[in-house]
Amino acid sequence: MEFRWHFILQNLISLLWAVISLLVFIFIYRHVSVVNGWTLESILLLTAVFFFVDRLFDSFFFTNFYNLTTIVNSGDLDYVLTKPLSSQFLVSLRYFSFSTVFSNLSMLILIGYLLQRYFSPVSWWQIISFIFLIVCGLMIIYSLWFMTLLPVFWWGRVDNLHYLFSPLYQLCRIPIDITGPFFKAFFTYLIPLGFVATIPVKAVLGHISFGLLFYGFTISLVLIYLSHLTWRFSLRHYGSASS
Amino acid sequence: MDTISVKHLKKFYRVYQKEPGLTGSLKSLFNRRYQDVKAVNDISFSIKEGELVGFIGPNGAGKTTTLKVLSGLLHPTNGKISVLGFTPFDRKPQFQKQFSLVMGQKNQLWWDLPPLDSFILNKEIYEIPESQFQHTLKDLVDMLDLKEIIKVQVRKLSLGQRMKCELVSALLHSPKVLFLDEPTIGLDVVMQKKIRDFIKGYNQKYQATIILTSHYMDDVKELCRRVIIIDKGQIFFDGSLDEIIKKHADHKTLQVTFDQPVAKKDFGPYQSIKITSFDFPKATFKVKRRLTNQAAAKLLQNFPVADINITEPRIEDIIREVFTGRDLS
Repeated sequence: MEFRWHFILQNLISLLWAVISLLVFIFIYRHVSVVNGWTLESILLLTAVFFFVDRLFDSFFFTNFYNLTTIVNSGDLDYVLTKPLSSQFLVSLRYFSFSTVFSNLSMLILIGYLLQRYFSPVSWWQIISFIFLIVCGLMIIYSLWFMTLLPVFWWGRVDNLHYLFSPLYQLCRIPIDITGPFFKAFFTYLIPLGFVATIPVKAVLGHISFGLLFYGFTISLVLIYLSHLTWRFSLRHYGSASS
Repeated sequence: MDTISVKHLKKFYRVYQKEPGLTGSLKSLFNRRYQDVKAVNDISFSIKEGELVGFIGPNGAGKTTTLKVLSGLLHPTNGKISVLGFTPFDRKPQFQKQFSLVMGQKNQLWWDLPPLDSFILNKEIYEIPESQFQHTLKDLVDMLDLKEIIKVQVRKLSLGQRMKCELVSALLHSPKVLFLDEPTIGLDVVMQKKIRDFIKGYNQKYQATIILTSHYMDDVKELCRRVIIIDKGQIFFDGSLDEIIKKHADHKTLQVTFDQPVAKKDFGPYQSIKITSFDFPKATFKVKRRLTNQAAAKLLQNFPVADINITEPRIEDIIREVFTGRDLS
């Protein structure tokens, strides 16, 4: 927060991204009223949730992910590895950034407004499962994205590696159930990107089963564990740049 | 049991070679030539508790690689390594709390914060109890004379001050094993001496086992009774400094000052005396160790000698000779 203009601009840019996306849907929905069960209000809710999760992810992980590819190459990972703490924890959560806090708050307000205006009443159970699933979604995104960074141990200098997952991640902003039964199953069970926005939104609207909730929890733990295993494996290939 | 034991350690890296220029870059996109670099190629040694061992060797000899394997940063290609009974690469917290690695060329202090903040962070990471932390910190700060600077941003410190603070942050958890990779690099002689004295003091006070690498022979000479010399990934010598001198310095040096003119050729008849430099009135001669007395007597008898000085060759010179191709049978 040292640099005021950086902070202001960061929030503006981030907000603008969200606003444009929301507007796009508003324009599209002038011509249709419902897409495979998704009305304008629910699609706006989905977009707001996506941007909310996205900013949370940015604040906690993205800076660190960018940093990881750098320190593997520079050899600065050395001191992380000698510390008696989980090295994965240290590289993933070393820095966090408040820079989009306003943009994030506005998404939260929008979510609250949409729910209250169009979807009330919302039960406590729906809200709790919504929050719970968002946490699962963050864990899923974290693990998948983290694993796409690990080739850095083999490939060396790859400045764009932390963007590798980005295109896939953008899929999260559309409702996965409009992609057809095959992809819907794929994004729910195999590469569970649905848990980032679509499934939490369905949960808050009261449309999901307890089984899916349980699956989301299980798969996020499995993926976290998998990211841990792959991290440990990749470290064998750490070259620790010469000093 | 040995504190550190290394058996048949190998560490190979795979690197690819690129031809220079743009064509080389394009070629390397499709077809890469790889090469195995044998950074460490089958070395074995063991170190007992409280020993202070010097690791010496030219650049690229494998010193740092060995230290990194011992610290658990690098996964060995082959070999069995045990430090304090742990396998370093497992990076168990119980192990990590008992050792420290200090690299003269890398810093771990937070650049924009005063050292004290980094110290406090380490206190949390290593779970050092408050009273012990205060006590150790005071001890280290006194030993290194740092009272004035631990609250100044790291970026504003001199290299020497920073190095001292690096040492403090590495020692706060009172490690039993310490790896120092060129701790005196880039420092002036006064600061080198201070760091050296500190390392010696720490070793004696805490019975810490220390491995030190350095390019400055003074570091090794003053600190280490035992040295391990490595080159091209292999151990050339493991023993005391005296032993290297005995083994590889088979000559002594005579520095002579004459008080009347003498010519180079006057020394022709004396086979055992080799001239290494001649710049009247001063000259230096190289003499077989066992013939030293004889040679000195001859010089004194037959030449107008004003002053004579018999010295051991400098350890630097011995090591240099060792590395520049003399074979070490």
